[in-house]
Amino acid sequence: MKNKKISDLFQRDSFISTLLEYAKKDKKILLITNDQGAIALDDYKKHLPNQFINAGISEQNIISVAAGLQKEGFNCFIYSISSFIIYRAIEQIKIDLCSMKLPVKIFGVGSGYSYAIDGPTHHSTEDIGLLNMMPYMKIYSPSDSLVVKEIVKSSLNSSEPIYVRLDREYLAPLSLKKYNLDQGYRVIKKGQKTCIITHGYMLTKAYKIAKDIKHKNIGIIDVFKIKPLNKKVVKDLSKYKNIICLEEHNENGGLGNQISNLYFKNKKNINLVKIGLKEKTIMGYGSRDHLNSLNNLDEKSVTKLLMSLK
Amino acid sequence: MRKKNFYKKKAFELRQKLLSLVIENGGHLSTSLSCLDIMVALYYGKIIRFKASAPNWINRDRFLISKGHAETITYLTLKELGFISETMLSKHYRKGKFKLGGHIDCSVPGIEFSTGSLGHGLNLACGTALGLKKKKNKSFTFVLMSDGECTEGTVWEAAIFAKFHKLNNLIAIIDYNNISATDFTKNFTSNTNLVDKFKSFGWKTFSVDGHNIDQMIKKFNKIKSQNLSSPVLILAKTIKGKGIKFIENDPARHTKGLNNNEIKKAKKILKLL
Repeated sequence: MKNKKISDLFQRDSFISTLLEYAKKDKKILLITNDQGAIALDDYKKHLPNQFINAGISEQNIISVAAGLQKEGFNCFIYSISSFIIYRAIEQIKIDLCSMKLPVKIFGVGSGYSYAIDGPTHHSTEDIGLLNMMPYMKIYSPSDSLVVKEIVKSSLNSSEPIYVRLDREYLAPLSLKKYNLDQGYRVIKKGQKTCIITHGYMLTKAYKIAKDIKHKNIGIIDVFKIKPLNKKVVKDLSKYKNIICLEEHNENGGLGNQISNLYFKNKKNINLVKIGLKEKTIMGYGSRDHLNSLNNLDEKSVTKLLMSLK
Repeated sequence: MRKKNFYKKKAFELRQKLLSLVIENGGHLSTSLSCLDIMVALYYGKIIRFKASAPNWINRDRFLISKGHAETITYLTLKELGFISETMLSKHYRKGKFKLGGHIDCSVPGIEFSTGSLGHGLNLACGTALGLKKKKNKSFTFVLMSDGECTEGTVWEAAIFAKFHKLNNLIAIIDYNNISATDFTKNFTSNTNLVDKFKSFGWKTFSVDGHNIDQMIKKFNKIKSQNLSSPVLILAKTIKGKGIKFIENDPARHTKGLNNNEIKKAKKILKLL
């Protein structure tokens, strides 16, 4: 990863190279994988073989082992394909991590349809929903490698377990403006009547769409911390007539649900359109664009919707 | 040096207290009776290093109870040893403020991890033992498992992991009573010869009589003093319900409580009447 700027890295490489930087100074940091590969991982293994564990393809064991290590004072970071580590080990996450508030950090690669053609076994389309229900679990969905770096830094001293949903594709940063990670979201672009609220991979799409229909002056909010969702987002959304939530996640259980719950709790009305993944498409194969088009998450469908809003 | 018959007397006394506790507060009786003598050997036989006044003492041996349904005997023993108070047990075990619930919880002093869903303990113990090794801490990690839980796939993920990482500070004890939740293990699984299974995974294995406390203490001490290169599996052959004859070796007693007549009968057996 030498000579490469963080902004040029894939999210997983940003995670591992940032972790390496800190792990070199702290022997208690451990990186555990289920036999995953990444360019930055080779670098990490080369520099810190004693702070790396390839536990093999055994996700349930990995979560419990990490819990044991964390309790003994180590700072454990797990790297896996999201769907495997979250779905396979959901009970271990609930009991061994959340019930004991053990701050193990799970970095899962392959958010949403990242692994498109590899199919539903590799898609992480319910991960947010599952972990939204887990007490004490924090959920991040970064939209670029710069945000990933900040999450890694902030997670080092976390007192609660963390899940970070990494995209498999390279996502170029859209904004170099300073933001507060603790705020959990950032306003990418202020708009007039309609605002898109989104996270991760869909931010790039939303940005392009808004740019293409510049005259509609669409606002964009990037939520990188989905749980707990900062209540202040209500204030930023309140000036808009229409809110569109775009996410490459099952339409149940994702950010859209979090927002509607937030409004419901605050007894406020919201004109919210949730565009996520529908049940009938969850088990499908195809390119990422094809799968998204089945859910009206493609540029054409979203643009059509935005154009129809008054 | 303990007096002659100390362990036998202690075990009998614990059986009496266990029965009284179950009558008053409820609990898992038959599984507790199954592993009661193992607990006596480990705690009273000074196999496990601990300080009741400092449950998180850094040089304690870590003792994980993977069979989280053995909470009745565990909480009773912790009370006897001074980890928790008499009031905590009598007023809050399965009643009152439920500070002590129906499965093992890590918020209780002396408990390392919450358990209740099976097939977690050995994996947690692997992480613990590896952590101790990495820290160069000489403490041992003990884990008490049930034979029924060995049908969980995670047990074998842990068995592979422990061998690969040469966790010679890990000692797993299986309460081998041949009964799972509702039936004899032989009636639903081929996974009964656990000594051979663990041996084939590269573990050092031993068998003991899980109700012969003196023999267990001798064996545990010998194992601890040996410079082993592998994790250790001790198969403790036990009888579910041991000590109350009419519930011994009865699969139905995992969940079935005692009726009034049976309570009288059990009290007579344990000389409480």
